[in-house]
Amino acid sequence: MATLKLKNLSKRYGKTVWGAKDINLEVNDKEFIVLLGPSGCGKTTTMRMIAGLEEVTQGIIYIDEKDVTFLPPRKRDISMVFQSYAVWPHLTVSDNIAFPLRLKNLKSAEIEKRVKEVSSLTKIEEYLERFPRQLSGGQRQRVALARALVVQPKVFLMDEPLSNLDAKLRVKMRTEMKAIHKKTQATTVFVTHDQAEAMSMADRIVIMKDGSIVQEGSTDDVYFDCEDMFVAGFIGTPPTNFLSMELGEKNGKLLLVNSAFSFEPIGENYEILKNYSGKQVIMGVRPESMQVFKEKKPESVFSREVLVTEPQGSHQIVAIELDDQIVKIVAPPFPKVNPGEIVHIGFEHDRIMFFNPETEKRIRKA
Amino acid sequence: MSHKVLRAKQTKKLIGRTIFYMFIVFIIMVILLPIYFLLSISFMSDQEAYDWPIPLGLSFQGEFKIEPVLGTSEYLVSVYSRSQEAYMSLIQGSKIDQMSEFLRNKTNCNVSEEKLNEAIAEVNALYETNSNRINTLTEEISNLEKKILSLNQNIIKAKRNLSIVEGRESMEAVEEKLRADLKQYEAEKEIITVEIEEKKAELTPLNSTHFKVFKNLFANYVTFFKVTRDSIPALMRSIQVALLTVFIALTIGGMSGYAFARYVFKGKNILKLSTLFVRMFPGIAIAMPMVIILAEMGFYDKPIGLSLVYSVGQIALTIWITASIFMGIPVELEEAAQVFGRTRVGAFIHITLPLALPGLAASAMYAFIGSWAETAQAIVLTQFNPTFPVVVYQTMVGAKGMVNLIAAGGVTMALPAVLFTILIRKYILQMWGGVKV
Amino acid sequence: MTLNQSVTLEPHKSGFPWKKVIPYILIAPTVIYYIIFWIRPVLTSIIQSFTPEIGTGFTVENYSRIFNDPVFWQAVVNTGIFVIISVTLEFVVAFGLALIINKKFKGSSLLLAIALIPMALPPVAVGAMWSSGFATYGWLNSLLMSMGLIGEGEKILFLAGSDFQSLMLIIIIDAWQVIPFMMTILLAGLQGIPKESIEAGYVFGGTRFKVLRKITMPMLKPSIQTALILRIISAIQVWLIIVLIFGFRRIPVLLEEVVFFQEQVQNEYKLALAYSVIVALVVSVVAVFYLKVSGAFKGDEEQ
Repeated sequence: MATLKLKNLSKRYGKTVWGAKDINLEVNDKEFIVLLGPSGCGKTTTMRMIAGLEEVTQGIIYIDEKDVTFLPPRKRDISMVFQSYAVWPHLTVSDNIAFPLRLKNLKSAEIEKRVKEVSSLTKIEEYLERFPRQLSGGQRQRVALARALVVQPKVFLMDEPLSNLDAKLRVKMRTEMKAIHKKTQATTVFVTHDQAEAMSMADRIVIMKDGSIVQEGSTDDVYFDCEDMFVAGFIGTPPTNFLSMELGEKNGKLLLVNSAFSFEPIGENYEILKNYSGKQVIMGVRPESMQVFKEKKPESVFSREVLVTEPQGSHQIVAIELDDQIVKIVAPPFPKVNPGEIVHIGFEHDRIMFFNPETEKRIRKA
Repeated sequence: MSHKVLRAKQTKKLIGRTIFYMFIVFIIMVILLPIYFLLSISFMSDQEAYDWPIPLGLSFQGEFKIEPVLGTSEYLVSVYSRSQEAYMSLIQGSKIDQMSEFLRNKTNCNVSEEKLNEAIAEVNALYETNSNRINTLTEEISNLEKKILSLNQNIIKAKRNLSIVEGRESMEAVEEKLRADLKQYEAEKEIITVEIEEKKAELTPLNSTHFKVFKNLFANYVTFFKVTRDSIPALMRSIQVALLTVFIALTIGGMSGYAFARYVFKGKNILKLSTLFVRMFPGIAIAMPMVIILAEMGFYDKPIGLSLVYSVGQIALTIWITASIFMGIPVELEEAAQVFGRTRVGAFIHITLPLALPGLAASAMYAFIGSWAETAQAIVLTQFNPTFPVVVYQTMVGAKGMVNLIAAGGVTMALPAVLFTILIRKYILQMWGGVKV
Repeated sequence: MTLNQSVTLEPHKSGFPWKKVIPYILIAPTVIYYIIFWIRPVLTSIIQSFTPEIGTGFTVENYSRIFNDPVFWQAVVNTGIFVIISVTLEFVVAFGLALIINKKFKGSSLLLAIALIPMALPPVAVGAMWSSGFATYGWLNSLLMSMGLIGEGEKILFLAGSDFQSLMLIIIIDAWQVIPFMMTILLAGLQGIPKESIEAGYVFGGTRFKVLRKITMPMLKPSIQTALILRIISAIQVWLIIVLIFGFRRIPVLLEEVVFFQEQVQNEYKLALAYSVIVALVVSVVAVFYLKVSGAFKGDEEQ
């Protein structure tokens, strides 16, 4: 297994359209990294450049410290699972899996052994002699996985491999693939637009937007410590609530004010905001970092009428209206909150993130 | 009550379905009937093809009758005509070999000399054994025929008289008598006619013999190739031209088709419309200057020259078909092969090509048909080495009248074209409509 | 976080832009082929049509002879009538049939296979079929008689009608060949339209005719366009079937005149060329006009 390094990697289509722009990334040995972003963010382009399927406009790709930028795919020592699986329809399952091995001129006994191993790992031993058209989508996906695993590559690439499966199977495959990764310890780059998938599988998540990396880090990093408003809004369901606040000063104390309420930034938040007096900031609060009370409490900051509630079993989502904007709050399942009811709302102050409304970047302690 | 409504609804549905299927059958009939007739005419002998009305069904054997002509040493051979429902005299003569050949040409039945000799021997033997009876019968018949003759005269006379007296008041009695006479004559005539029929019926098996001979269905095809100048070399030439065209169109057009399916490039739209452009300038108008160009290259009046010209249209079509075939094969399959160890070319050869093979075969057949059927350009571009359609065309334009031979030529032309078309129908529809069936 | 600081890198020079070049390599043979075997003869035709039959120099005599030839104008009229009637008739009938048959039924694939046969028949085969059919003692009269539609002595003299009737006969033959195929294409197109979009038309209160006009036809447009344009182009170039049935110069049409001067008359090569240029011009004008009117150019850009 190996490391992967991307240096200033860029891809330009035509004269002005950038598919990927200045991507810098280091993937450690045995790491499972997920490229996450909305469609068109450049994650697939990046992966295809790593695979050698897309020509690089600019930048360098290193696999194990070796420059592979201009090597054809077959010389890069990688393997890949395609979104559409790309299982060859004219070959049987076992021929599909053995294909890469045959090209390496391995002995047939060795090939057989490895096909057997990998097919038991991916649970497709029964289908080895079938043709792809006789398999279901999920089974084909396993074949693609087996084919990619069998070569024991330096880097393992997966381009949205689960997106064509139905919801239930997808969740199941997530767990299985994670288990397989644990076993094989392959350095993996996994592309997806599904944040749940990313968060549950990744050692490290790389979030991309408009061809560039906006943030990278562990699941907790990208969830709780967002680099900018895009990440905060993209990660999490329901997404982060953004409230536009003005930072005023009253009696020598800082005060966050909007049309409905005001409160004093305390602790860490004070340190962060102390240079922003008199300016506009955007406050980002995760729905579960807000609290809903039936009675007025000291922690509650303001009161509002409940617009709708969405019971979810394990919790309930309470929606209120604030400045023509829907704010969603995740509350415990009990006590039940009803639409029309007046509730009192508070914040977990140490979970609030502040953003600069112009740059949309996170405001951090100076 | 509701049961009744349901029943009525079902009946209505049934009627609707029946009408629908009748409609479909009607369409199929309209399409197939002319083809059926072309086919059946191509199997008909001269005698059948020029019979009126042309028999609607196909026959597989001829029924012949042979009888000695009294007072001569000659024999009369007749063949049964399904249209006339009677035997038609074909030839009268004594030379067996000439008769055999004539009959073979006329009826496409293999009437051998032995068969004729056999039949003659049989009819002679028959005549010997029954000569007395035959003589009496012939005499009786001739007597009866004489009687009919005189009866006919009487009838005519009576009719004339009747027309004179008819309507006159004083002549009523006369009229009555004339009418009675007329009635009697006609009754007598009827009886005698029946009698003659009976005698003839008795006579026929005594002095004539019948035999059936199987028809040689493909006689016209053989004759066509024998009669028309050059048709076998022309057929071989046509196949040669078609194969060359397939080769040129598939290599050159296939490459473009692949580029079309896999890449974005400038000028793609122009190339895409090339099918249209190429068709706008009449093929024959291209063929005329091509005569000189090909002559310069030393290809004039040679199969390669023809296929070079045919390929212009076929390449355009091949681009369309192959592009749609390659588009149907996901590019990921090729990319996967590259990732797992193939070169770009290797991925194409080992993955895309085998998957595209059925489609490419269809495209090849389509080019084959196009080249095979091409007539207009071939007329201009050939001089001493015509292709098969040119030969058929010349036979049609030059030798009007040999309907069944022309039909045989036409069917020979049509057969491979229709066969291939049905084989590749899926691809043709896909290409034309841009839709899958 | 291990974000490297950006280092300025110039675009790669070492990588040959294969992806950009490959398609041009692939289409190069086609382009070269077209230049040699299509553009060159076309240009030759055009240039030569402006030279006299013997000798060199520029002349419009070939063209003026054509325009002064009454047969030419007759050919123009005949071709015009043929194109308008045959294309309209074929399209309307084919579309009507397609609408009627537009449902999956037992034997539909058989019908499709059979419908392709006429189009597959080589022109000489079609000529043989119908010249034996339309002959006075041909199979068509025989069929009519055996069906009891005509009596003895009422044989229809198909081939001895007026010019217009003869033209109609050709149109019928052409229709026999083309309608089944056109129907199949339109049928395939119709079956490709999602059922829901038609049903939605009815749900929102469309009448049968309105739904046909406003939903079915527009959705079928690509199929209709391809079928019609190719049909029009080949209709203008009709000739062989006419010659096969009637011989030369009985029903003159444009392309038949080209072949006539090329094949049947000595030393009229340049005149034939001029004729063919005129035909090409007519075809191009009509085709471009049709594409403009129907908006097919736009459709191509979208794809």
